[in-house]
Amino acid sequence: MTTSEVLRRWWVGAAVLAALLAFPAFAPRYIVHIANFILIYTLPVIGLGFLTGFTGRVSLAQGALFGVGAYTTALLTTKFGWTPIATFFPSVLMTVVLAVALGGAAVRLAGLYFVMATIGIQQIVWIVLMNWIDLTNGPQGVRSIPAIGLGDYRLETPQKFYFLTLAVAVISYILAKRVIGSRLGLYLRALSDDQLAASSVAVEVGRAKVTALALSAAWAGAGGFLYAHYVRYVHPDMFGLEASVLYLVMSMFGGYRSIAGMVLATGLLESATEYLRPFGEFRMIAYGMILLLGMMFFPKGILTIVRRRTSARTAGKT
Amino acid sequence: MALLSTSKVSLAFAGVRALVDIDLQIEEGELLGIIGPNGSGKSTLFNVLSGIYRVDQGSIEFRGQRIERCGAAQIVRSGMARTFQNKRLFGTMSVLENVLVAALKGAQGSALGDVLGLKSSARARTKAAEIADRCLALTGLADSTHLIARDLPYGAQNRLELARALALEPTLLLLDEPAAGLNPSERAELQELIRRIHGEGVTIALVEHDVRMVTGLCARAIVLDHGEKIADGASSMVVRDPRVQAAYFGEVESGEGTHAI
Repeated sequence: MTTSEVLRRWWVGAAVLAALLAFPAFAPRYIVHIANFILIYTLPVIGLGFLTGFTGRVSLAQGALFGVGAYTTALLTTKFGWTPIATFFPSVLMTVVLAVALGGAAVRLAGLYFVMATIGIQQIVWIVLMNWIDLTNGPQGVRSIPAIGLGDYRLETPQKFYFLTLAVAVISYILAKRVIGSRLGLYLRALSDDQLAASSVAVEVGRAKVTALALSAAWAGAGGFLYAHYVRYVHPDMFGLEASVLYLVMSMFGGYRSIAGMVLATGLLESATEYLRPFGEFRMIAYGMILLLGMMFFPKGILTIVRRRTSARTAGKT
Repeated sequence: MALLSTSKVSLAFAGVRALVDIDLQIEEGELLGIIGPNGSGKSTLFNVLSGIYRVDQGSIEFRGQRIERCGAAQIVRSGMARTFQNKRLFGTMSVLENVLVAALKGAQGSALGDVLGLKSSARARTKAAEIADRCLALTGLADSTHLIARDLPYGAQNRLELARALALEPTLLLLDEPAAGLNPSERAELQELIRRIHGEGVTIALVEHDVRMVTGLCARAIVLDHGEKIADGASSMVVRDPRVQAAYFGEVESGEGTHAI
């Protein structure tokens, strides 16, 4: 039995959703705060999953795309006076357009060359954010980004913001599952297995890859939008190469071509960085060890633990 | 008019002539054999016909359309499918998915329709699933649909590649050494299968090393050597042609009597 089959059981889904909805009522503010970050990060991570897990294109520019989404809404709301909600689609659109303009040609390159191209894109975006001071405020960042409001109700506290991030994350999860279950999802997996064979069964390989890139950018842009209005401050360093590496690790660590695995890994790794704080300066060493051991014992992702269990159980039944 | 015809098709790799002025006609409903020693250009010819390589010179016409500048996916949609000499399956995907991808024939604009759950999308998927089921049944894979392709035994992988090509519902099917690596009984089964596919009206071009298989299946055969077409005619006659014998077994020089086998 696969993970998705387990999750498809309605009571599993209902229980998970109920727990997630009730959670902020019981959890301390700080925990809800971390949960918000986890939910926000699932967006760029799932987005990257389209490109990396399913299409076999490793990108190190997801941090930059996340930043494009965040900066678009940050600048539209602070400099041009837009209402936050109205900037959601422009932020997503801007990220997609920029990603396709910068990476549309590169995504057709063979694996390693594409990785190098994405590092270039990552650096270009960071340099522009840092140096186009008239537009982006450069190293000062953009401050006082307004909170998202529904009428007079402003999503200013982590508890209030939580329901928005949860709603967006759940929608993004369901949409992502549907994209992967679509014919496009089949084409992407086929071309990641064998590009030549894919084109010989009429898959327009180039177009499919650009579509995967656009999807990954859309998810990153949506995540960036949420991030900007949650933290309410953006700075180029939040969207540097380090962020890109982190999203890549999160999207690979969870499970090979598993969206649930990506979400799980985002949760585990993001909470690990928080819970490892008592280790002080040894924190990143401990974090590195978790990654190392995870990759050594579960090269196809930590979700294989769950899978092995469930398949062993079903095998025992028959 | 021929289903497929090439005129003076030439291709060179870094100066090495892989195909030289190939003129070839494949008639509708035919089962054509293509033989020749290793490196004679058989697979290169298939790669050119199916749009994986671009010709340096010459033209290719398929069903009345010039295709020598078309992309691989476009040529497939116009009705030409192929298999590969070294099996190129989608290794991580299930048997059913391998065939399903082909049965969808690269339908575009599908992502949005599928995500939104449109009726037209559902219909297209149902139709593709029916085609896939039919092709899997024909190739004897109906019981293995949920296995992962790379876990299949070799003989079944071979049939899966054939099923995948059939799911494209081709007018012309190019088979590149389908019998390579098969044992005699699998070979006989394959021969029967090819005959059946041909019987359903699919035109087939078959690249094969096994001369007996070619003479057994194909009325007509062509022979390639060093990228040139050196013989074209009834398969039983062609294999007896002295030039063909020479190409396969080496020059039989009078006086010295050297036989290279």
